[in-house]
Amino acid sequence: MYFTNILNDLHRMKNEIAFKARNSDFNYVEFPLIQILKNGDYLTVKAEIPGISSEELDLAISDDVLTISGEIKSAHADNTVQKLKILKQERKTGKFQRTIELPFAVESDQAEAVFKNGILTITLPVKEAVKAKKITVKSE
Amino acid sequence: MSDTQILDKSVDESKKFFKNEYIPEVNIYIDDANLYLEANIPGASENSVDVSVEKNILTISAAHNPVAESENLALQYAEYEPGDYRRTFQINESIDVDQIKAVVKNGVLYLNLPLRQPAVKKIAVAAN
Repeated sequence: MYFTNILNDLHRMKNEIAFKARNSDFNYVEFPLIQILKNGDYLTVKAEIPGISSEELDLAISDDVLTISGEIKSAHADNTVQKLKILKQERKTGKFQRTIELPFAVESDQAEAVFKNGILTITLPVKEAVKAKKITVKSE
Repeated sequence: MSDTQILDKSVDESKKFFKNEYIPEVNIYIDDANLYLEANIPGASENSVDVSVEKNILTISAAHNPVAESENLALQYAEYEPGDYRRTFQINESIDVDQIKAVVKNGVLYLNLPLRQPAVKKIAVAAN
């Protein structure tokens, strides 16, 4: 019983810390949050950008630098016709830009990007020159 | 039904602890007719979203949909972890709970909660 209570408390605290970190007023929390995955000759970058439409997303890639920028438009906040009162505003809206340094150069013209359920997935093929070359060892 | 008379559920509780569940960030607006609630639920699709009202507690929850990915994909760097979302709100009787509408778009849940309008009866005055 005691053990269960401690776990519940920790669970609640973990959620609160994650929530506060995301809603911090300080700008050191980068936006959007990303993940980088690797699969053989491909690099996959994922980013959580809830509320943006794919038309408002901009991507730029040069060698090993990826820039994600765009604008999350609020469905309600800009509407001055309605007399809206703000009760809570925690969601990130407005313009943002993030530059990500990739671990190696990629083929920018073969990059593919998909946006689904608020998650942007960019697939980047590793540049031919970077790929490991097989060296045959000759016996003498 | 389990054959055991007594079951220790603390193992289940520990599973819950290691499961990722986040409190979604929300925006809430109000005007004369409606209350608007927007919640960030990236990674969750409309099928996994659940909105319920029990007594005066409004609960929104959404499950993260795992994407079918190549097994060779290895995580190199992560700033976020996929997880489920859950948040509860206390609401009062001014909200018409039968008329709540929910839409999911681009990783955001949009809720429209209509406010009950006070019954005002207008009587037309006819000129004689």
